[in-house]
Amino acid sequence: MLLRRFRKSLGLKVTAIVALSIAFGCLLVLSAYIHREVSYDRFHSKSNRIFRLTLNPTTGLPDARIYGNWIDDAKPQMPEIEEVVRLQRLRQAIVKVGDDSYLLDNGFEVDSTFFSLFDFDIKEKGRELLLNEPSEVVISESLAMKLFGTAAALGKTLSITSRDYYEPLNLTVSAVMDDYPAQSHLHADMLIKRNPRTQAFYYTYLLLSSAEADSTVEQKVEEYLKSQGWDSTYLKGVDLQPITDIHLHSAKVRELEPNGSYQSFVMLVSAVGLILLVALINLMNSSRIISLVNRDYYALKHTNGATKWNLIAEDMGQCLLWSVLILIGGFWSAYHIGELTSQHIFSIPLWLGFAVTLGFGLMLFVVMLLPLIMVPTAQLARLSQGGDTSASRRGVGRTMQLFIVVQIALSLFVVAVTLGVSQQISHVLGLQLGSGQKGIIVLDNQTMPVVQNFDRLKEALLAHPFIEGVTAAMEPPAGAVRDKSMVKLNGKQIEEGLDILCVESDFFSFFNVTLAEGNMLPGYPYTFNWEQIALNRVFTGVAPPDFVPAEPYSDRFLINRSAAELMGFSNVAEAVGQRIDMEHQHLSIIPGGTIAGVVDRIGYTSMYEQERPTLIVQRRMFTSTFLIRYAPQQEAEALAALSTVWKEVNPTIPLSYQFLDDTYSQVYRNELQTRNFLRYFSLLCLLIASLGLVVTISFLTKRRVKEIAIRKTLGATSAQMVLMLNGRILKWVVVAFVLAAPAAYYVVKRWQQSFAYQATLSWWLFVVAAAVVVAIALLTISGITYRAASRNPVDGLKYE
Amino acid sequence: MLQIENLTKVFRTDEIETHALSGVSLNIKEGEFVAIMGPSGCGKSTLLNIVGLLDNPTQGKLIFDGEEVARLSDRQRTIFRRGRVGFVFQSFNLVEELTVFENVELPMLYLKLSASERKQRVNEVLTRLKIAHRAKHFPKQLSGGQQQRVAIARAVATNPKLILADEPTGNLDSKHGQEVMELLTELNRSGSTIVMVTHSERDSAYAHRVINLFDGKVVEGL
Repeated sequence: MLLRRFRKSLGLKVTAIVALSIAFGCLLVLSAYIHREVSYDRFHSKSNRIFRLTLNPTTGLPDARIYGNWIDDAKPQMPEIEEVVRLQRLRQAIVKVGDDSYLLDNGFEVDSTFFSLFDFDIKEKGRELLLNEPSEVVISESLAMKLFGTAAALGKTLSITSRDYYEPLNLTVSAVMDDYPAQSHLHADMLIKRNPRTQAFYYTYLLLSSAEADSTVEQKVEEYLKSQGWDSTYLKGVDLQPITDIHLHSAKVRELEPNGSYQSFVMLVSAVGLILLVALINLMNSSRIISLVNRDYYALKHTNGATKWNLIAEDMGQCLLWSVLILIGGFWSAYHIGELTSQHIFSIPLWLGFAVTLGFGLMLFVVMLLPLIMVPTAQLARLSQGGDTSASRRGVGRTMQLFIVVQIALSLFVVAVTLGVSQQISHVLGLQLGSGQKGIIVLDNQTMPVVQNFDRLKEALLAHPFIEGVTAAMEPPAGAVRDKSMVKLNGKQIEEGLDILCVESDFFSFFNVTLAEGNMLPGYPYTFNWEQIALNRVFTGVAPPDFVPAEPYSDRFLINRSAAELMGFSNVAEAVGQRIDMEHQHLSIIPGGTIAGVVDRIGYTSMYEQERPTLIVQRRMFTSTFLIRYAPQQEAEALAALSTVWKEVNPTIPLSYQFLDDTYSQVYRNELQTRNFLRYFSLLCLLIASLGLVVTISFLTKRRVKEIAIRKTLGATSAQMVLMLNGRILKWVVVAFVLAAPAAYYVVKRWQQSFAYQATLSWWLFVVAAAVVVAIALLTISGITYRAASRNPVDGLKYE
Repeated sequence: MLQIENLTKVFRTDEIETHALSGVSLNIKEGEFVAIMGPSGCGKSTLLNIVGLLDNPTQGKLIFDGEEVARLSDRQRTIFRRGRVGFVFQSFNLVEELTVFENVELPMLYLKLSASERKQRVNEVLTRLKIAHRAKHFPKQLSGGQQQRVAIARAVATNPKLILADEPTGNLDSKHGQEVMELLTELNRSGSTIVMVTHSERDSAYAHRVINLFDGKVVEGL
């Protein structure tokens, strides 16, 4: 009986079940995603009392680190601070065990208080007090495996070279800790005790006495800094970020790892919410239709003595069958959607999966039974006498049409937002140097010995015909330019300092950038060794007798247009040839220089902030990121040549590189993930809406069979009837467009605000979205309308 | 006006073949009022549908105004039918979503008449059929008699040569039924050819000639 009733209007039911299964699948994937995003760093037992201390500057983006040890001096004045932990990443570090070398990405110097803030399980421990001796090191289980294999790591020795160490550091493993959980904004493979006397940029974490003490401490730190003479024109405020907020809410410069994005989070949650809404509308329409289709059945049952509650109880069996099928289909689609979006469904905790399933199942029951529950018993009696179930059949049609307009509006909204987001991301990537160009690889943050050998590497690589260019820069592409210098223009101090970007002389020709004015950087005459001696001379005043210092004003610079504007030039041509003095300890090894040329925009920093006024300088020691361009069609040969040349030039250092587009993909990870998610979700939204459209149009067209027959009898052709039936879809799309386009425009505009460079949202974007929806809607329903329109009017006239 | 020769209509399903009409032959002259009678299932409505070019016969000839139309395609039949044939149905078959005016205007839309001409002709025919005061009403707001009056107005609005009426009084009480029959008679007097299917002896009395159908064949008397 259950199955016999289920088979009635089977097509309609299958359509609704498919749509709801996809929606449920999306909901499960979303639940896994939400759970993952909000559970970051909650595994620390004191997570609610751990805060990261950062400072907000008046201009530019804030840094995730702060400079120096001043917090130690401030701490006695702030009893709310129980503990301080600083972390400094080991830059360009290489671990050596015996003759083997390994690149180390996640090595940190930390305060010995590290383990009193953060909870990480120690698997093996040689002594009770960890991080107490500078010669001891704590390593992760996976690093231990990488360095020592299955042998016990405890007590083993290793050495580290880093950009920050003058000599290799020999260390003994004092403990092995569990690998960090995935849901941590910090992943460390190696912890070394920090020298408390050194000053550097540190990620600084505070353990407060209570979770509510943050605003008090913020205020006290700000007052302390002012009392120490910090200039309020540079310091806007103090920010204590709860550690549990860092992943989702922090987008500072030099974050430990790429974080999530709250905006993307909200956008994805909203997108799935809309999919659910579209599916729910489908379910409501389907339930309504099924209820109408079943009215003769209800009437017969009622005539034979069934009460309304008997009928509801019987329909619950149908609901159960629907729910089981939808939930099975949902789990299946969740698995596949999860595979597509890298949100694996098995990561969802059991309790959450159960709660979501139960909630969705209950919602199905309510929505499916609602049409029958809403029918007053008196109307059920009238129905059994041949009357209408609802007050007005036209009313039912209107409600369904309203639902369809809402569905089309939601689909249009999602498609338009997806197109807007895609346009903005393409715009941003288009502004980045070399984006979209095949055949560029990046070797970022190289160690000093490698930087020293750059010229040899470049020469050897360019000997290969398929290597088209080799250059170097201070930062990886889309990395932050954070070196800054006060500058004098023709002896007069510029009030605001300039950002400094060190590049190799071929940098701009490598990216085919033309200048707005002047000449490219000339060849750089100084060697790495010369720079080392010159720098040593700056600090110690001592240099070998044969050392020849640079001539005053022999340096050559480029500036960007915004630097020219900051310096007060009314046009960029005026800037060329002007004298510049840098007040920077490391860079002033060449005493002053002139501006060789002006570039409109460099496009090397991330697009989250407007390109700052920048001085482009040549210095070998600071150009530690290498860029290599090769003929894309000869990629295999180019990579093989790189590997061979690298081994010749840097035999003891492992080679590590990535493609330029992958570098940008990492920087814009959140945005690209949002775009990809939105693309999938808009497709699913269109699919679900189309399925709903099929169901509702079938029903509404069926109700017009007689009208079509009458019109055909009176002289209308089948084509005219198809036009009439499809024409209303166009009408609905117009109404939906009016509703959705402004909303989509607003949402994309809001989202764009996180970018300094915003694409102009073209009108065609919304027209394309509408065209896509119209095309899919017409494709979906044309079969139904054609069948209805080409039906013999004789049959239609008999239809009641 | 209409020559029907050896007309056969067979309906086929997977298992059953039903002969709705078997070799029907008859002529209908211009200006005639013909009633087709017979028991349920004898093929009256099938004959009317074929005569009205809503359906094609399986075999036989149908000559309408000297033109053979039995083998026309659906589209050709539709175009031929426009303005030539008016229909009046037992269940009125008005479009519920359209007003009286719009219902009457409907066949003229497909004749591509201008809006002003349509308006003029609809107003004329509504006045002639004494239903002009209901022009803005919807069918559901009218009585059965009034609805059938609107259906007749729609049938004559394009001045068709032939009006086909399928049990036009079947859904009406006797008073309204009589009104409708008088209306059809009046239309016939003013030149319209009328073919009417009916069960009612009283209605058939308004016709010049009665054709009896039985089991899909024309018979002398029942």
